[in-house]
Amino acid sequence: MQNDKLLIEKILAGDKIAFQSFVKEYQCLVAHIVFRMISNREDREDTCQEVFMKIYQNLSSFRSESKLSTWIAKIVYNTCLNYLEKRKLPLLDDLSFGEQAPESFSENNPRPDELTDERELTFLLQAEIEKMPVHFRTILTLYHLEGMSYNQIGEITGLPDGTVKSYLFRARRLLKERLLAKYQPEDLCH
Amino acid sequence: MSLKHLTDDEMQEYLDGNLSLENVLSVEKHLESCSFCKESLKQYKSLYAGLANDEGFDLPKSFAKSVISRLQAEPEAKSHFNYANIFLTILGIIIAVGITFYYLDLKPLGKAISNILLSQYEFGLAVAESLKVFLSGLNTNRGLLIFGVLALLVIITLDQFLVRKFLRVGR
Repeated sequence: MQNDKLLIEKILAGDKIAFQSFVKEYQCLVAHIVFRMISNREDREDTCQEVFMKIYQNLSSFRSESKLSTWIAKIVYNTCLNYLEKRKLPLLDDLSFGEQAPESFSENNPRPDELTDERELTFLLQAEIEKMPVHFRTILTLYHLEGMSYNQIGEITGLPDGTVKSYLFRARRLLKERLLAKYQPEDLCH
Repeated sequence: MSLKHLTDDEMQEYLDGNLSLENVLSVEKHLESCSFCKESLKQYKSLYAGLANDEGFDLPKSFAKSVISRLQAEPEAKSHFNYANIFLTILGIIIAVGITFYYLDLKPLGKAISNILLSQYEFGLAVAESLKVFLSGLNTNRGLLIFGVLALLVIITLDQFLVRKFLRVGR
């Protein structure tokens, strides 16, 4: 926290090296959200850059009432929402997501008997997450990769804490069901 | 809790650490005797582990440097933008003053300035006279008024659709 304050002071004084350190410090957080919200691989890096440009331009407006990571995540979330809106990509939760019939194996997906290690399970899981509505994906990322609380996630997404919790539980249950519908239970447990 | 199978929500609450100590003990007691829930919990544990894995989110190693490069290019575009704004403002003022001097009789105003030292009252009258001449000039020279409005429109259009667009592309 103290380090962040010092870093921000240096950046506001025009120290570009300090901003480079800041980027290195927070690029994982930014990439986690951007990569989850934006499916187009070519646009992901550009969006991450755009986010850091916005952070640099607005850093003076940061107030330490909220955590710096929450403030950054909010900028990332809004930037991604703008991106999706501009391209008219669906934002709202697809309520039929859970009821969809399990898809047949695509050529790229390994078959269950090929599931030999955790890495392959991770690959399959990422593929399933990508099919989920954007809010579900974002909440899963903020909770499991960033270790944020319902309250912080609510601050970022503008959703009530109860909704955040309900989306999170629903997303995990659906993921488990979808994975089990395709693969044997023992393939999922390592 | 120990008779019925655990619900999905209960399992998730348990793994998230949201349950009270009493409920944690109750869940663990149930798990000891229920292989179905034990298996289901194991699947959830695998899911949690997978969700916490951030493989595939890597940005290039040079990412921070590329942000700084973009940042250094940005003020240049901004300063161009400022110069363009200043240039257009000065151009607008020159056109407006030029047209005013060309079409209007400003002798009363000049006379008024020379009379400042004589009497403030006379100066006030002279200013009023100048304004009157100016307004009547506008009334009789409608072409001048239309020309002025058109000139402003051309400047605004050039600014909005050419200058600003050009600078945006440069960013």
